[in-house]
Amino acid sequence: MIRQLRALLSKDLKVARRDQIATYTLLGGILVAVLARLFVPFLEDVQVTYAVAEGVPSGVTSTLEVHGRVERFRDREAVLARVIEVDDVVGVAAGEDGVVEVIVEGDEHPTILEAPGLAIDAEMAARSGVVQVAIDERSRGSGRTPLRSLILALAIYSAVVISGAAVGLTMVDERENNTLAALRVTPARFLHYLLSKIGLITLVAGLTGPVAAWIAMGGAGAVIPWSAIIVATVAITPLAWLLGLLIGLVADTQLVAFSALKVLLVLFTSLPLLGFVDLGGFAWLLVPFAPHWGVQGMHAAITGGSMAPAVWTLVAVAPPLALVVFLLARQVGLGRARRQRS
Amino acid sequence: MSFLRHLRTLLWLDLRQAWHGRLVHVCLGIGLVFGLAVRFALPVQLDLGDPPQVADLTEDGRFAEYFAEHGLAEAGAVHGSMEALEVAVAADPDAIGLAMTGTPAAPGATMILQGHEPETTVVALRSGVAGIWAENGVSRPSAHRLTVLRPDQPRPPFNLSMIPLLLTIDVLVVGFFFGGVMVLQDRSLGTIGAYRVTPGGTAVYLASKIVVNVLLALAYTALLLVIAPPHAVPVLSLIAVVCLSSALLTTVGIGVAVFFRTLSSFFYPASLISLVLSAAMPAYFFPAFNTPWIRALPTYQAMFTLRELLLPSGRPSTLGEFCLAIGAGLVVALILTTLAVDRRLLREA
Repeated sequence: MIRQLRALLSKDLKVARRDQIATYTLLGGILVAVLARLFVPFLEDVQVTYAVAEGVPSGVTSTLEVHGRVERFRDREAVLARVIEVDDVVGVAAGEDGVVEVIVEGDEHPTILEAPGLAIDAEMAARSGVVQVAIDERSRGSGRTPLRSLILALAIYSAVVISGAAVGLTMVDERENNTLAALRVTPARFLHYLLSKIGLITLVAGLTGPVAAWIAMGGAGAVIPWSAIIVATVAITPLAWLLGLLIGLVADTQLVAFSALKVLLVLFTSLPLLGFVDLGGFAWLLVPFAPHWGVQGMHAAITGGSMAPAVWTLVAVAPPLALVVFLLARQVGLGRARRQRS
Repeated sequence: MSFLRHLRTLLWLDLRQAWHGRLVHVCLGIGLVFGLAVRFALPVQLDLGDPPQVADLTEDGRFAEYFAEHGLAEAGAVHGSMEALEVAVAADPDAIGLAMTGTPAAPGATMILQGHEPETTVVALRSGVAGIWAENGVSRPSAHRLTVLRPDQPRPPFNLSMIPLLLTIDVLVVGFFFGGVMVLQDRSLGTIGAYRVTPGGTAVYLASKIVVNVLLALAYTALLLVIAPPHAVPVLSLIAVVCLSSALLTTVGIGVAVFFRTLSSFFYPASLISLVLSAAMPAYFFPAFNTPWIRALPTYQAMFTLRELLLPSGRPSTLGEFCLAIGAGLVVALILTTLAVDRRLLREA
């Protein structure tokens, strides 16, 4: 058995190396983590853009520079042209009566509608000696936003899970180029075939998870809860098996594989986001949904929460995985030669 | 004439391939599911921001009415003591706490922050606190005048506002994938080898793939809009946007795919390109997220052009500008992809 398994795994590794699948899979996961790390700061600090016309008092302009990003324009007309573009930009122009004019379109978020006026009023009040509000600020000392935790969890989870997709696609390749037909006349059995596939996925997923976590969470010097990340990665890896084997099961050509991927990626990487939304009475629908528990498990690993979702991932993934393995065994048909001989 | 004859023949084969490859089923299935979700499942209104947790600790309780007017009492965000406020802020990692203290002669407030808030948010909160006091006893002159360009323009319903986003994702991003996958399928089935000895050239090959994807994009669009009709459906403008966008991304997808041998090796680079294209999505929900590189993405332009077509807000149309930009991009992509297909695919040994 070990010899058969080694031969199949060696073949898969050679194919993966020839087509650079392993490289792309690892690099793919790493790049997802890099993109998440680069992208999150933009989202965490979305600054309002102020289009400021010449003639606005310099005190107002410098106040707005503290509140957001300032773009300067020559006159009110140029400011108007900028404000009506598709993004949310607040225009500021000097009014004839000495009052600063704040220009908005009307469909902006309420905070964007109110914030510039409040800032200008506060600045002018401070200059004119109006009584100031004494503000005591207390911080709870939390350095990571919930949005950051969510995006990092989804990125690391996705990096691990999609490593199954590449192996699933190689199974389709094998069917298309008749490698599978050739394997049927060898002593290889389905168990060897299955173990070689999930072995390859486990190898790639096991490397991708921690590397993606290290990059996404800040790299060298960052405090990374390694044991929790490893537990979550181990719990998520069967989801990568499920994704890969499902593609291998349902697709007989590359086009069908892509069609299947289109649906499966929504199921595996988009729908679990519902777990972060208040679904009210429909929340129970997520209970048997393994990808939901996978993302929650990685989120718990990052935020220091309970690792129970990781355990639930393993429980929830077992039935669909067993069904897929059963159906795949019937479809692949390896071991027939041996049975026929006996 | 021979171009059209060759195109018709290849187009028929490609359409059959798309059918057997379940691309048509997936496209229409997703259009159906998304359409039903927009029509029946997504809420009409969705507020993405949490209300602040507040406490009125002034001696005369002057903010109670103000908090009630702003719906904070109804939302359960008003607390009776500093301790209760601290507990509420600790329970929600997104929450900000605000306790109003003092008197109009000596106004005060305590802000409880989580610690991850950006400086611009903290500065805006300070101005906001001064504004709340100004409405509740501290007299200060208003130094600004608000001009609203479209005061009667309501925000579109949340569910319908998802349509431009769903169209962008599936017409553009999937068009990119479909084009590439069809080329790789031709390669793996040996169709490319057979095609090389036919009189059909690179132009026919490219045109056929583009037409198939444009037809799929139009079918998806039509199905989605029939199930969940938006405020307006300017058919010709919509067809122009969908056709140009789908053609551009399909051409780019084909241009990228010719450098790969199998779908498994194409999958990751293509996914990364799709991920970058999808980076424009948050800007749709938070239009203040407008960094130059996000605004340069074709998906950004497409989302907002489609939004203006389907849910008109009264802004000047950007349709002409969009069509020109995408058209120019399409010409460049066609030239580069024709060269790549010709050199790397159709002349390959």
